Amino acid sequence: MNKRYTLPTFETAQLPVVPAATRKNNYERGIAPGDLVYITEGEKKGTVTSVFHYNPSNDAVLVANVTEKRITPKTTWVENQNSHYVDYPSYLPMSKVKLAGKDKDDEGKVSYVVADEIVLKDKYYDDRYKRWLPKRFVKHHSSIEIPWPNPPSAFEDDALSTQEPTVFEKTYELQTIAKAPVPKAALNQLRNPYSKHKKRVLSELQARRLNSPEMPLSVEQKIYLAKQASKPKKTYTNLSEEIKDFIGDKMAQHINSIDNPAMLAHLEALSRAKVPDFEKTIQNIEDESK
Amino acid sequence: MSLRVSMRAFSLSSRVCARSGSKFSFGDLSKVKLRAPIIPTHKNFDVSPDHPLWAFFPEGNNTETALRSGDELDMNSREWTFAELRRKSFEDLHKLWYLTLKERNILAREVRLAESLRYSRTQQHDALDEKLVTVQKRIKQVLLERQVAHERVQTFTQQQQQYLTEFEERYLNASEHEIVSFNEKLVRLQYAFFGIEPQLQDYDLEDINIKFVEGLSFVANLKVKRYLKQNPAQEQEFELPLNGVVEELPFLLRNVTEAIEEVKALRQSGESVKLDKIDVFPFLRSALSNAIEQEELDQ
Repeated sequence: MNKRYTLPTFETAQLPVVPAATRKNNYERGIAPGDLVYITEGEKKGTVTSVFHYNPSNDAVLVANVTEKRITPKTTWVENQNSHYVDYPSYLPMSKVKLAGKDKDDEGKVSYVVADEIVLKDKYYDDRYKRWLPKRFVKHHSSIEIPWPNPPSAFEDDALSTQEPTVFEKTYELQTIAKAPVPKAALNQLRNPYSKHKKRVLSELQARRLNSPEMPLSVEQKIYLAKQASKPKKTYTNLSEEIKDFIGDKMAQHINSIDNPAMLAHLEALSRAKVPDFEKTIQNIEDESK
Repeated sequence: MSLRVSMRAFSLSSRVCARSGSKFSFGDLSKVKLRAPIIPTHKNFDVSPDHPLWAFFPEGNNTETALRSGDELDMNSREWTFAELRRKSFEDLHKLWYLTLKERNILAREVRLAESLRYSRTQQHDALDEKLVTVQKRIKQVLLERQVAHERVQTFTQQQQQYLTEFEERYLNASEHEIVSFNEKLVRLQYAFFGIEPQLQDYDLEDINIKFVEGLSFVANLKVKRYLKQNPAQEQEFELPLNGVVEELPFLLRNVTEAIEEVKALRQSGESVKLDKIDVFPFLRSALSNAIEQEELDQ
């Protein structure tokens, strides 16, 4: 139904969901809360605002000043709210925003750089974020870096955090190749000893898949094969000395009658060429004589 | 399993009673005294503070709530990275694995409880669990990397042999002032290639294997060759090759001159025998345990 004619409901924004396998977190996507973005579509097109939050499951950002009118149920009301009908922050898909960088020149004049696309490379340890982060560059302009913004609040140790010195303490160093790094008993936990890929025996289905089926023969093929089978087997015998002499004489006679040196050179080259069929026959003869 | 499935049926004993037809009566009801009803509450149960199931609660027996809300969870911490895990020993990784597992069990219990209460806001729990799963996967990956590297290097026998030959040459030709550093190098090499620990008390006697025997032979022959090169006069007196582990072991335990004397004494007394393969490990174990005891006595 056309949205224009429907009554206002408590509906939520329907953004397309990114499949879990291709989902990226905000660092992999190159965006972080506090970043500036340039809006390219919609009501606020052409404005630069800051990012509050990135939603990986929809590949969308929550930015400042972009809201939609929505009806909120009373259970979700906040303080000082006295109407169901409120401005509600709305998600913008990443395709509608572009990352922007702020630049201030010596005179204090502010200018923005909007990156059509960005590339992430050269990881470094960012102590503000307490993690390794890639540097962000404007695509095709490797001199223009857009640094990560300061995180909105400092990252502090939480309940499950490990103390920094404990993390950086080195307790493993390769000292010997004679001793296994993992105890034997633990190895079966790392590798599945019953993996189907480790089985040496193929199941019937797998064997059938690997081997092509035998094609049934047509009637003509069967007749041909029966004829071939009924024929006596071909035997290979070496030429007798008499025949060899005869052929040699004939060839000598022919070659001696040639005067053209080019023709002789041609025949010489021809005699050196290897004929696979000839070699095969010779091989057959040798095999037979054994 | 849903909670409703586990709803209690009539107890078996009461049904058995009914079936057996035994006449059960309350007796004189006028004499039954009414007591204040016992309200069913968890306070009537006494749970030991060191009950193992407390491990399924975030704060152990001090836990206030059975189900934490999303904001009570630690959503700020990030996963361990590969680079960080690669610096950690097997023991550390093993500990970390079980800490992670324990935390996952706590989360799983909470999610299960939430399901039974029809409470659906457990996305945060799932998100945290995903991080923990990532840590576990990375731990496995790091351990496998090490194992694969170890297995591959076992096939590089030619390169290993080449290095050992080169080392032998350099060791034999080392000058007098170089030999101290070469001896230190040899101690590191015998651990690196053959797993022979530098300190006698660190030996794991159960772990003596073919590599150890190979290493022993390499080290002993190296030292003897060096000694005979330095003292050519001894070459007539002391015959090579060494006769198996019995003659090689002194070179690992003592300095060269003492070892040479010991081997000579062994040869004179006729105790120097070439052991059968099956006797090599037991001999080494007993000889080394004696040596370790002796060293402990000396200290």
